[in-house]
Amino acid sequence: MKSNWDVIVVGGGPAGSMSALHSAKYGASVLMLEKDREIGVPVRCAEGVGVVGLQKLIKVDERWIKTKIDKIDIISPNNTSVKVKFDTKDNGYILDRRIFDNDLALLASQAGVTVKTKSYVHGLTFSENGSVNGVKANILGKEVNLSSKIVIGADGVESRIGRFAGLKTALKIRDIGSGVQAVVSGIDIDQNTMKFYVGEKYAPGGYLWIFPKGNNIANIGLGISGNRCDIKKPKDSLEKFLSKHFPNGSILNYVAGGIPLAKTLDKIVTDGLVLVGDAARTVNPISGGGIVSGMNNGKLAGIRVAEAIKENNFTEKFLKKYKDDWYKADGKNHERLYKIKNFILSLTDNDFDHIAKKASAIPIEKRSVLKVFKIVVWRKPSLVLDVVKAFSGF
Amino acid sequence: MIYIKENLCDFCGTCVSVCPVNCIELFEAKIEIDNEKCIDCNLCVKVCPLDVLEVKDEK
Repeated sequence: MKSNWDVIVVGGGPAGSMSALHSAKYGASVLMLEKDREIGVPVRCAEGVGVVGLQKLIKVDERWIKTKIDKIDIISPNNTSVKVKFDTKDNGYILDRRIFDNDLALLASQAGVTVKTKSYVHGLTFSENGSVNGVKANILGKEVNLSSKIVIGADGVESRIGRFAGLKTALKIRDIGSGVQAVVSGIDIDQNTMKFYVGEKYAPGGYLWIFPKGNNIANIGLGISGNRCDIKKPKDSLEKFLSKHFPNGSILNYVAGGIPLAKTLDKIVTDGLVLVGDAARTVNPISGGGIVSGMNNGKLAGIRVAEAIKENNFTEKFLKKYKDDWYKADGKNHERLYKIKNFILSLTDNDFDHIAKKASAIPIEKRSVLKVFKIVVWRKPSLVLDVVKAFSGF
Repeated sequence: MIYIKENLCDFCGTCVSVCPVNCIELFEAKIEIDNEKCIDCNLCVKVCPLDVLEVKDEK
């Protein structure tokens, strides 16, 4: 394998693959390194995406889709159910990330990217002027130094690549969702509804989800806000829920994971380096959904990185164009959602019950996510404009 | 110092994401804490989804 590359992408998830694909598409030589043995595994994800958002980015293959979602059901602590039927434009899919991530990496490789698994990056190298110019990696057990013009850090929630270059990527404790998820089979659930349970008894500062995957299987998991994890541990809370609601379900898979519920980092580029996806904190800070936003972010980065290679300019100043592109695309909206999330963290179980009662009083044909969130912020009118702007395109 | 119950660890990286001094190394199926660099803030212990990390007093 050659040791000089235009671009080295660290991490083979959707954001990494999209950034690699688009860098290569516009002419760069690209190497993508994944630390695990297989792209897409383990699946630390509830696998929900919006149809329209995904279709804008890629031609959707039916093999990726487990179920199609046309409504959500939010359940408050006193068991008040608020169902919202989607307009067609809001419909969702539950994906099979194992197949999906693999296909994205395959598409990248078909565009000319060289992909390697079991390849762990443990450091960066720097030029005399301090610009990032390569990675220190262990590839299939062998220590190597590889040089690059630009490194793309797509290393997920841990986001260590950025830290190696001096970027402040550590999450505040209130901005991490501490999560666990089980893939449960043998359960009788609506196959087209995503269910969300809110409140202290399920997930303080977060929520519990049931996302159907067809054949009486579902992803059932929860995320608890990092600063509330001393009240309740995610694994204990999930165990309690499963034994109460699905005592006869089988558990086919069980994973833990952190969900970055933050706004995008102020600094996601430096000389010779850009961060994308979870590593740049591009997850929706309310829903915790990060597949489509990470892919879009990765695509925007890839396009600018390829441009930088062509112009032989790898400076922070040039690469900042990517940050501006992202801010316009989703970053600005995520700042609004982040403000709303911080307000939601202050709500009590009584508040949630009150909100659910008011929301369920809206006739179902007139109920929308936007209307529900307008009720959520009823105590803080200054957030209504943020809600309208953030959810009008929902 | 922080002690890892490695047989329960899922190597998910949640601890790494909140560590303010970047002292946790995460491999595919191995985790290492550099207790020289660790400042005993215990944020990692608090956020671990599986309750795998423990604080032990130095002797």
